[in-house]
Amino acid sequence: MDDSVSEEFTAFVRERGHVLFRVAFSLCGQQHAAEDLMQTALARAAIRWGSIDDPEPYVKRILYREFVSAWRWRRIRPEVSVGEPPDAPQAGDHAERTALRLSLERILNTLPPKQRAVLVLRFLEDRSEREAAEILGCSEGTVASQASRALAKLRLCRELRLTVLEVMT
Amino acid sequence: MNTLRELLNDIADRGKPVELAASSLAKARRLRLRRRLTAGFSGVAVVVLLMLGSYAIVTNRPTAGGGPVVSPMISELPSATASDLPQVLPGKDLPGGWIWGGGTGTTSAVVYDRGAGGLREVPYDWAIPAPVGDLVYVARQDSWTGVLDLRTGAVKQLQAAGKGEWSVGVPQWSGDGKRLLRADGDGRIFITDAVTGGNERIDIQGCDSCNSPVWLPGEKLIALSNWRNNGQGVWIHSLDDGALVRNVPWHMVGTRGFSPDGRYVVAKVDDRAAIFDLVNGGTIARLDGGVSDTRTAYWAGADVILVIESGGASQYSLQGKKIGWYPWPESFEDDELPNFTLIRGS
Repeated sequence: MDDSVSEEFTAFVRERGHVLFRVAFSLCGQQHAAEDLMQTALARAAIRWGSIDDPEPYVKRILYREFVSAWRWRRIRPEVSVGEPPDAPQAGDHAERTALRLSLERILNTLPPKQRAVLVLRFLEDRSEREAAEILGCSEGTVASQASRALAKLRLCRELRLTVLEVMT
Repeated sequence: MNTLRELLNDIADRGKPVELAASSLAKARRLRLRRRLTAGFSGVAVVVLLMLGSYAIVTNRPTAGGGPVVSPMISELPSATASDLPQVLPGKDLPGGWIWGGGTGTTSAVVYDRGAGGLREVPYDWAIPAPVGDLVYVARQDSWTGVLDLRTGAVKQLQAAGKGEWSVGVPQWSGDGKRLLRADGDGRIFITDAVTGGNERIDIQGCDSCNSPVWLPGEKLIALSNWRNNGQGVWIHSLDDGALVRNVPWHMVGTRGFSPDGRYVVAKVDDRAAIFDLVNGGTIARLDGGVSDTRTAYWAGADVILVIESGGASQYSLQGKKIGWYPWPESFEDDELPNFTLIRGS
């Protein structure tokens, strides 16, 4: 990679890195794991930088697929707890929202990665089922079924029930 | 009203973006260098093998996609040992006849080629060599999976397990290196004939999120992990009818953790590795030091255990005492090859 391409790549990461990192963090839920995922995706993109027309969707696709694929190896890779300490209790509406968010994080951490990836695509990125399927490399039916299963698990959490029902209506 | 969207945005906002351009570029350079070296040596090997006249080398990469099993596909299997890989096989002196068979990292895979007597990088994202023989399970990011024959270089694409879905979890080879145990993530287990590509389906009763099936010795039973519990717990099912035989609360350590007689298993509780008795559910011994960085365990006899760690393999007695250490070559400590598979040396 020559200097000009390196500069272009670096400028892209500087400008769009925060957007990509939001996706990586939403998928992993942990700072260090998100950094690892992001670095892997960026390295893969850097190798093919000259032939990539639109790098942001390209890197995002790698993020999602790498995250889902890594499941294969999850059991034989060291699992290091790098979770952030829980937020301190807060008052009023903010406290309620923090509690809901913590409940959601707890359940997200138990979802198979594909279900978590579908939730992030559909409800964080507001992607259609078709777009989500294209990004994940699976059928629209799979996206629908994975989302349905994930939401069903969220519904099991009493605190999240109203929130999830709102999404489903 | 808080919505799921708002909450997901709250979670996304908790990440703290860091500067990753420089480290990503450095990683990309390492990957590119490795690929160039591999490709260069591949060309040399083509010449050598053409002179020998014994093999045909083909250079197209298998196409992606699901669909039925196809006839052996051509591959761009690099046919020589890349010079940036260690020339000395790591773990050649491991107890129990195990040797280092393959490593899969975040971006590349390396396997030991028995016939060539050396290591080679293969153009797949994952590779799991069979414990005996020349077959290697290979997979790519785009969900393509297949079986590579190191002896001939031929690659056979595998049917997706289940309804067009990729297999999930780590597929496991049978002891004879001819069948693969795979899961589709919806409670269906498949035994795939690695030679013909045919799938035998087993419906697991009472577990629609069990994955990563593991043969127990004798291959009449399989153990599954359940992602509903974040990997905690082992469900043992019969292969005859899929019925649950027993359930234990441990966390599996790799795919080879069961002793040859099926009585003991190396597993984790509270992230500490120990040897457990499957018959009475008791704890035989905790492994010295806790071994939190345990990747997988192999039995090297009735009472000797090899535990794969980041820098090498530790040898433990049945009493949990660490009695040996086998470091990997320096290059294998690279974080790009974190997942090791041992195979039988002879």
